Amino acid sequence: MTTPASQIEVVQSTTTGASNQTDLRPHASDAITLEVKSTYSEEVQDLLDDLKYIYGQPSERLGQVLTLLSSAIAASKEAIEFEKKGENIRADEKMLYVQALLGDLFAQRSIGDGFSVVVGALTFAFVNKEGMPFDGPQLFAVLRTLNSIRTAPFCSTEAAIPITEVLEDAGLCVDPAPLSDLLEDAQEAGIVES
Amino acid sequence: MPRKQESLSPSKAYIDTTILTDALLKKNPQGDKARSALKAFDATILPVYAIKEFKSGPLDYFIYLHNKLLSTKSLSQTLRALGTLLSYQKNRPRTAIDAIADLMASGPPRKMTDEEQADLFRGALARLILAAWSKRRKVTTAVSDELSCYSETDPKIEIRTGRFSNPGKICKLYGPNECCLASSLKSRLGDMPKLIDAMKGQTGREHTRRREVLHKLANTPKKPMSAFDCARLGDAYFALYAPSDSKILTTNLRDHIPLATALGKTAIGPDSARPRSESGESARQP
Repeated sequence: MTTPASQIEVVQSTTTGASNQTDLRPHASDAITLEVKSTYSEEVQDLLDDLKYIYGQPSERLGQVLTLLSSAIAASKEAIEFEKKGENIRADEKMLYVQALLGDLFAQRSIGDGFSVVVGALTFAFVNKEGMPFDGPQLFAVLRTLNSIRTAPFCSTEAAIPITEVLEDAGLCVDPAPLSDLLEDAQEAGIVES
Repeated sequence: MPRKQESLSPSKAYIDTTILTDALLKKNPQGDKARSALKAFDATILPVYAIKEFKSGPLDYFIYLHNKLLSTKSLSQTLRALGTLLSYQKNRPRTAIDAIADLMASGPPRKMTDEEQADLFRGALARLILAAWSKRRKVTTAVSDELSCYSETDPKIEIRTGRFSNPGKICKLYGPNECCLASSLKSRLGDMPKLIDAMKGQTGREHTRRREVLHKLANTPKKPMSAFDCARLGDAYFALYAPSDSKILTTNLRDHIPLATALGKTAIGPDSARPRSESGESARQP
């Protein structure tokens, strides 16, 4: 069972910067912040119990990460359903929500290097789409990636590579495009010989 | 109309470092061009020498960038430092650094701190480095010319510091041993003057070093060939070792054409490598 985003209990707050707050409004300096409460959904609690068995007592940060991931997964699943029914605008709306959650997930990147790499790759997958909607296979790839990182949030950078390859296989570019230009500029300047 | 005899024989490309770099590291039209050029041949052969150059050049540059971001914890500081290193001309309309600044201003859904931006780029670099390295032997139909004194040591992230290390950038030679290429190079000393002649008029650090090592091989063949000599061969390696029935596939035609021609071989660019379905001949001369 998944937890729809709307089920996350939120409290309006005017303070910013606290570690357990998430800003879901893009580019808004006076954004309404949302506090994710420490009472988790049944699904997140099950995951925390599983991870506790492997890693010991989970941190509050992990609980927040899993809650955010569950919301993103639920939204991705809804997007897939809408896309199947041809309701492309509603599918795209759901993906906008996933994109907003990625910013909050990235703010929790201290959980692990692999986690940071996967969330970063998803972020660039959205950025490189330049606002264009995701097609069916791409929606599935995003869902698979979110599911993978939810089951292994502490993975290493090396272990994150195959997780992100799913996105590339679906035709999404997960690298920041200007890195290619940066390499070309360095080759042109003679800093890099090849 | 009967097909040309040449079209019946399989086309073969000998891949140089520029194509390997573009195919693995560039996600732009240049990279697309390299990837489709690789598909245009029946056989694509990657010498390990190209892997060695790739590791010590472009991959090492990205590793430097990763570590710079780790140390500054700031994308803006890193870009400023890069701007100085790249010494852009003042009238240059748009640089890669401008492109990164624009991307970070408009791309992510929420405003990120400078440190977050640095971490985002650092993660992307780490992913790109590891993914490119793991795919290096998979982009061509064959890998050839193994170098017995060179081991392809994996770049890795040090757990304690998070820094990338890139060991084994050049060959490892012990005691009086010389480079594993020495004996084959010294058995074809007649080729060295041809290559030196072909380089006439070419200036720059890379060419000077290449000329020095070719002179050393031609004039003092009894002197041992060092790991640095091997690294300095550069483009001459491809002219020397490309199979005679292959074409050297490179983006650096300016340097490769004279060297290849001097030894009766051909160098072509990715633009000249047309898809097999489009022409009877797989790859055409530029």
